Amino acid sequence: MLTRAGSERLEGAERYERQILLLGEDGQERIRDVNVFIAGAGGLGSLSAIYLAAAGIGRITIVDFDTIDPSNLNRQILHWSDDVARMKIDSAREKLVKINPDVEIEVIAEKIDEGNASELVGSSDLVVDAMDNFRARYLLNKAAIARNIPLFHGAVHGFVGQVTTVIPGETACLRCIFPDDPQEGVFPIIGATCGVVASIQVNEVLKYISCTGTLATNRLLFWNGADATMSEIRVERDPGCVDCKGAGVN
Amino acid sequence: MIKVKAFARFREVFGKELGVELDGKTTVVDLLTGLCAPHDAHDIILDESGGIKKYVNILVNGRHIQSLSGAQTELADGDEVAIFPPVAGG
Repeated sequence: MLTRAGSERLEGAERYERQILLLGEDGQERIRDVNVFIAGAGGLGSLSAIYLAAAGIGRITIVDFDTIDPSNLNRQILHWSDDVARMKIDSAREKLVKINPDVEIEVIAEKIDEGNASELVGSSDLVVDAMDNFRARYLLNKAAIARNIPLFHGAVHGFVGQVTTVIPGETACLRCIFPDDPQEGVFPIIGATCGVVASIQVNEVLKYISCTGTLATNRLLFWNGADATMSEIRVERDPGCVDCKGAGVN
Repeated sequence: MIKVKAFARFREVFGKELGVELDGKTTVVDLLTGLCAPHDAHDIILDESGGIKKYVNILVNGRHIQSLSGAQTELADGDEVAIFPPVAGG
């Protein structure tokens, strides 16, 4: 059992016992003290939110403007059959507080755009990119860099998914790796691909917070479920990148 | 020798990794044109004018070719070229 003087919320917190063995009590306290911004409550956002809530993140802010469609249900596992037509954020909050009542859940029903991106991510400590389009991803990337907030990117298509972690001013950002918007419309997907990719994103978040392991920075991880392989592409910062040029330079 | 690494559906076309010997001055588009013929991949990678399709992501030594000299980026012995498709869904 965990008890720690001066650490009220960790007292009796058997629920974190197994991960404290891995991340340490200090790591768990840091996890408790952070505010993670999750952009999107869809396939990636559902799973990220579940694992981050279960891990005891202090505050989770989720932004999504959409309602639940039956075609979402094969992968967006925070939303259940009875939730069709509800706002995703309402469905998400309802489940997450039951998963872990310790966690403060804030939900925002807004579409991320140029006018609000910076303000939305503003008070968070980390950004989880769980969007479904690069237009919004670029806005998050830019806002996170401007505010010096790490960004944990994940994207999926069919059996394939990718992950990279962006530390502003230090590592390649999303725009360095993908200068152009691929402009994807309706994409094929199974829930398991979202599960793999979002799990890696959460793994990155928890490592970052607890200062554990090695981050997926300057690397694009590629999961290919079709042949069950994981591979990586080395990436570098673009000195002329329109989003991160000058970031980290004093 | 240039190392070419293909990912996702491009791996089904080219295989996981290829070693290509340089033959004089070679650009990225030269490399891809040469690779496409034996793999019957012209329509997947190249457009009608012989340029590289926009959705084909290509990095040379970790840098996107757009931030280098695009399709005309020159390759040198020992370079590593990564080819991967866009993945944008969530």
